[in-house]
Parts: sequence; structure tokens; C-alpha cells
Amino acid sequence: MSEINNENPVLIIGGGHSGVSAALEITESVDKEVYIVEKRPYIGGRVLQMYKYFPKLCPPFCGFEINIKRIKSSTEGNIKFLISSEVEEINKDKDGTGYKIKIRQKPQYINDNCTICGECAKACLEDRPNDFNYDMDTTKAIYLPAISTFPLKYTVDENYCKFSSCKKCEEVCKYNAINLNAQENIIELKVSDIIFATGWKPYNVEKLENLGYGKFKNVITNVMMERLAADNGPTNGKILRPSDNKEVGNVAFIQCAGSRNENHLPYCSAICCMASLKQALYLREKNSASTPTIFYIDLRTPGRYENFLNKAVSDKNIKFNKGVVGKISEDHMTGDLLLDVEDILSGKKIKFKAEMVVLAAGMYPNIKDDLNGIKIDGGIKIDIDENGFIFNENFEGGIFSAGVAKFPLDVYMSGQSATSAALSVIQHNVKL
Amino acid sequence: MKNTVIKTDNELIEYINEVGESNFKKCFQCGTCSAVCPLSTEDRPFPRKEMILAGWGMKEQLVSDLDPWLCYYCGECSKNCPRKAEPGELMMSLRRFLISAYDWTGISKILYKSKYAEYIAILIVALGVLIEWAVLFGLHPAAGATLEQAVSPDKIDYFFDWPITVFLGVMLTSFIYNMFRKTVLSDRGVKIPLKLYFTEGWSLMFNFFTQYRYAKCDDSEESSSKKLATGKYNFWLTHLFLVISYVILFVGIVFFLDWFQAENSLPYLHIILFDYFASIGLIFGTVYFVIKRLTKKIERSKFSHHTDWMFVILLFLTGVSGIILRAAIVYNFPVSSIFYIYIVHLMILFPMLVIEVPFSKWSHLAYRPVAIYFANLKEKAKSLNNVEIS
Repeated sequence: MSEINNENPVLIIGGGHSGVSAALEITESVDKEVYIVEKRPYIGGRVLQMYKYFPKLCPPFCGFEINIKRIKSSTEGNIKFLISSEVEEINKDKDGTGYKIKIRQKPQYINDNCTICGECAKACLEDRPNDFNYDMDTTKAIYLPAISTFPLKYTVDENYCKFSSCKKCEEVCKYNAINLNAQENIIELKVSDIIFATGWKPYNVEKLENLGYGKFKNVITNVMMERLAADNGPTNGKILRPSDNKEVGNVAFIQCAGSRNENHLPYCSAICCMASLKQALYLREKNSASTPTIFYIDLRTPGRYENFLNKAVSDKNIKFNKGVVGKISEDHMTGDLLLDVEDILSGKKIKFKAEMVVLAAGMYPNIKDDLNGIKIDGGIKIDIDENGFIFNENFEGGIFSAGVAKFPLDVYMSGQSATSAALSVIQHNVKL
Repeated sequence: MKNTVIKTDNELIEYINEVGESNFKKCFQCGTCSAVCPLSTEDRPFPRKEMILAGWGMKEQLVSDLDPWLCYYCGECSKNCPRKAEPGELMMSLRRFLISAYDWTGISKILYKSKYAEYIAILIVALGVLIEWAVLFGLHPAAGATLEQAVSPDKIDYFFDWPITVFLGVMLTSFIYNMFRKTVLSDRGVKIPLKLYFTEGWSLMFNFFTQYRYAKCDDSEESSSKKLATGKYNFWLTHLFLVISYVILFVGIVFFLDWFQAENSLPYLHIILFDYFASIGLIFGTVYFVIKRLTKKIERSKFSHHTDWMFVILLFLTGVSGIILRAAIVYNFPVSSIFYIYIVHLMILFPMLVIEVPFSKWSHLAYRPVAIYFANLKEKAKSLNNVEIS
């Protein structure tokens, strides 16, 4: 085997499924250090917010736990995590190889002494909207950000903590784990390669004015549905609608909410069909009287995913309507929703009544906005297409991408793209 | 299931493409347009159906389709179309196609395809008018002649007014019969009882004189007074004002031409109805639509075909030259000036009538209310049949 240039580490921006997978693939294959820079206070990214993965319908934790185990066992500490951190500057190194990176890490108020005993949160008086559950419930200002948080410790929300005027959490912590006077860190690194694994966020469906998200309480998004279905979610796994916490059965799933729309996201987000089929099955599993209806343009379930579609179709209580919804209005008395839609197969226009509407929000690439916040040396080539995805790998410069930074991908394909990025990094560092 | 052979027509696809700016080939049949349409009905929603019929060139279905006439280009479909395929503009293109499909002479098709053909046709008619005038009255008025001697109203009646009325009457009637044949008679699924033709007649009149469908474009829950105050009825009311003005002038000039040339027995009625109301309506309306077409701010004025421009410009010029002519008569201009203004006025008016009325955009004035009438007939007949069966 050729020798690897391991003088400088690899920078991976984003600690979601793709970033972690790429880090593991690199460190398990060659002796090279990797830094993962993650904006959130924990590693794992969006997959942790899923109730189940398709097509096997297993919870995300099993796969994530295997990754954590791999991180702990086989890589001999070669993966370093910088949580609550953002890359500020990327400059070419003077000697012509690699990059100088400036990273800003938010104050780490809680150190590794934390045992997640939870006494601090009990003492805390301030509430914050819980972004992990898409603001559908609240946590204290000192909180455990996710159920399988890694690194496993509490975190403090700066926007809601009262700091020196309160300090109740510091007083009750028995392990000296809290220091509310902590300062932010500036970390400077020299790296050989960069992998953008910056992931995605759900499209802001409020822009789809006709569909009433933000106006009508019972219009939610697919990512919120995952949290409603999840046992560790705001409703403990019961699918209750926001307006009156009623258990719902007649739920309308509206596909392509933003995706395949030239006024919004011109591309197909690839995962929403499978996600809605999966969520229709959640409903069926949790409520035997439920009748989910999927409003679609065409259902995209390529390859073996077709079996999953067949499984959903064979359930006679799951209805399908070819034709997407043009307008939604609300019955103010009941909170039910009225959908204006054409049933294309019969050629009739109908008013469909639903207890709750789930919009299949498309995937919007984070990289598009993230790059605005990073000062990048003019000579560094990062090709972004018109939709905000990185479309070109920079093999010469050692700049690669993985996961949804490239294009809309599901978890499985993100893993593959991470392997591909890892392989590119290794090839880039082979000593000739 | 019975197998049906779908006949498609590539030339038709090209023609629809030529006479409008819809990207109907981009349509992926999501159904958003039909769902948001404030005018389409539950039983036969449009324009999603027309998008695929046009995309596939399904001539038979398109020719028998009344729905393009029921569309008033509110623009909700185009605004919400995820493919920017412009379904509203497709319905406009289909109206242009249908005008040429009802016209058995084939003239419409040529005029819609080429703006030069339209210019030439207008020039030919204008020259024809000039020649006819020269034969009847000469190119200069005789010295000392009164207006009645120089331009005899009787001769205008015999050689201009009545022939054009007969011509337009024959043309439009035959085209509308053609439309009836293609849209109503061809539909074997419905038999229309004779009685319905009379009982549904009100819808024809109602829609012609109110054009109420324009008002239905805005289906928000606001009150009518609020819609009026916020300008949501502006387009409808302006269009209605223009149509009523046009009809008043048309009827007045065809049947009571004497009134315009000499003193008449009801001077105040004349002044209020023709000199003020109808003249203002014609000028205000045409200027309003030209401004809308130039600013392109609302969906239905975003795209302008050469026939749209020609229609509104000819109508405006007809109005302006007519007002000048009337003013010249009222204010006792020299007979020679009136004589020349008269020629110019007719050279604008006749191309407007001969070209625009049967063969081009004017014809929507006839087809729109007739289509609503036919659609009502079919719908009523169907519901009657259903009652009988059940």
C-alpha cells in the first residue's frame, strides 16, 4: 500500500450522517486525523430527528450507535469533534498545499464532567422552544439537545439563559460541569483537504402561500411529522394535531411542497415520496382506523423502493390522489382543513376535508447560505450550481462534498457519497 | 376496457405554439392549475385537461371543447404553475385556435399566424373603402354642396352600413353554427330538449350584458364593496364599460345613422348616450387595456399577440376618428373637412369590422356568451338525463 501524507488533518464541515461516515471511512482506512466541525451542540444531524428510516422502518439510533462505537473503538482518537462551531475563514496556505482554517466555537459552558443527571435543568427557570422537535414543545435553557447526544452532555442556549443574574444550574451541579463564564474559542487549523457535508434544511414552506403553513395550525411539515410519530417526541409518539391535541386519522400528505416548482425549488428532493409513504404507514400502525391520503404528481420510488410503494398500496386504507393541492382553507370552527384539488384520474375537481395536512417539504441545501458566512480565499474553487448544491469535486485542491451538499439524497445514498468523498481524500493524499 | 385510438396532430401543436406564448409542453400534469382556478367547475375542471390535449395535439377533443371560452384568464393558474408553463396563456392560445377552427374560410388562421397578413388584409379593406367612396361620392366634395348632398346618408346606408351588417351577420352566424355543430351536436352523449334552448336563453343575455365571470376571478372571502374599493373589479368594470359603449355605438350607427349626421328629435338623449357615455367608454377602455398590455403587471396582460394589439388599436382609432367626425358635424366645420374626416373614419372602421369581427379577436364578443349558453345547455341536459335514468 502506498504511503499517506498525514502531516495535516482533513476538515469535514458538518457532523451529520454524511460527515461522520466520511470521517470513519477515512480514519478506518488510513492513518490520518479528521476534524469534524458541527454547528449544533451534538453530532448526528438530521437523521436523529427521524422516527424511522425507510425502507426497513428501523429507528435511526441503531445505525447511529454503531457509528459512535466505531468512533470510539477503531479510530484511536483520530476523529476530533468541534461542536457548536462554525468555520469562519478558509485561506490557501502560503506554501501552496492545503488550507488555513479559522473556526469559531461558541463558549462551552458545560465540560465533560457532565453525567446528564438532569439536576441543572430541574433548577433552571427559563424555557426555550425546542428546535429538535421543530419548536413543537419547549425545554429548559439548559438542556440535553437530543436523546442520543454525542458528545454526551447538556448544553446551554445563550439566547434564553440569564447567566450571571441566575446561575441556579451552577449551584446545583455536583460535578463542577457548568461554567457560565466560559468564553468562545477561536481555533486555527492547517488542513490538507476539506469535505463539505453541510446537509440540508426543510424548505421554508411558508412561501407556498396557498398551502397555509404558518396560517393554519394543523398544516405541518414532514419533518414535524417525524417528531410527532417519535416516542421521544413532543407527543410521546401519539400523532396528535397541534390545534387541539386530537388524535388524527384522516391526514392529507401533499407531495412536492416546494420541490419540482420553478418558483421555489426547481429540483426533485428525492426523498419526499418515500418519506410520505413511510409516514402514512406510521399512521396506519398507530391508529387502525386511520385513512391517510397522499396527493402526488407522480410517485418516485426508484429501484427496490418500489417494493415499499407496493406495501403501502396494498393497504386499502391508504388512499392516493393523482393531482396536487392548489389551495387550502381552514374550517375555523373545527380546525379541519379543506383542500382544493383535482382528481386527475377521474378528471373531477374535489374539496377534500382533512384533520391534518402534512406538507412534503423539499430539501434546501445549507451550503448555499453557509458559504455566505465563510470568508473564502479568492483562489479556492468551490462550484455551486444554480440551486445551491456543490456540483464539482475539486480533485486538485482536495475539496470534496458528501451528502445533501451535493444533491438531494436519502440516508443510504448519503452514506455512499460519504464513502466516495473519503476515497477521494485518500487518493488526494497518496504519496507518489 | 375498450381500446381507443387517439388521433394526434403535430401541426396543431405547432399552430398553438405559434399563436401564443404558453410553454404547454413543459406541463407535468400536477393539476395545480385546475385546483386553483376560480372559474372551472367540479365536473369538467380546466385548464389541466387542455394542457395535455394541446401537448398531445388532440384536435378532435380540442375543437369540441367549450372550456377555453369559459376561462377569463384570471391568471391564478399561471401564477401558481410550478413549471411556469403558463396555462392561462394556453387557454388564450386555444381561443385563437378555436376562432380559426370555427372559421370555415380559413382566413382567421392566416391572420393569426402572420402579422404581415393582418396588415395587408387591413390595407386591402381600407383601400376597398376608399375606392367605393370615390365611386359613390368622388374624392372631393362638389363646391357649395351641403353635407347631405356631399355624403348622402342613404348611400352610406345602402352601400356601407347594410352590406357590412349582412356580411357580418352571415359570417358570424355560420361560424357560430359551426361552433354549435362541433361542440354541442358532436357530443353524442347529450341530447338537448328543444325547450332548453329557450329557457337557457337568459344566460346568453345575462353573460353578454354583465360579463359576470370576470368578477368571479377573485374568489377571496372579501365583501364585494371591499373588492370594489381595492380595485379588484377594475378590469371587469372597464371591460364591461367598453363593451356596452361599443354595442351602443354599433346599434346607433347601423340603425340610426341619420341621428349622427343631422339634427335629431332627441338631442339630449343623443348627447348623453353617444357623445358622452359611449365615446368615453370606448376611449377610456381602449387606453386602459393598452396601458395594461404595456405595463404587463397582471397575468392576463403579460403576453400580447399581434391580434390583441391590432384589435385594441383599431378600436381606439375608430373611436377617436368617430369623435372627431361627430365634433366636426356638431360644430359646423366646412363640408370639405367633414368629407375627408369621414373617409378616414370609414377607412379605419371598416377594416376593424371586416377583419376583426368575424376573423380575429373581436369575435370573442360573440363566442364567449354563446359558449356559456352552450355549456349551460349541455349541463342542464345531462342533469335532466340523470334524473330520468335514476
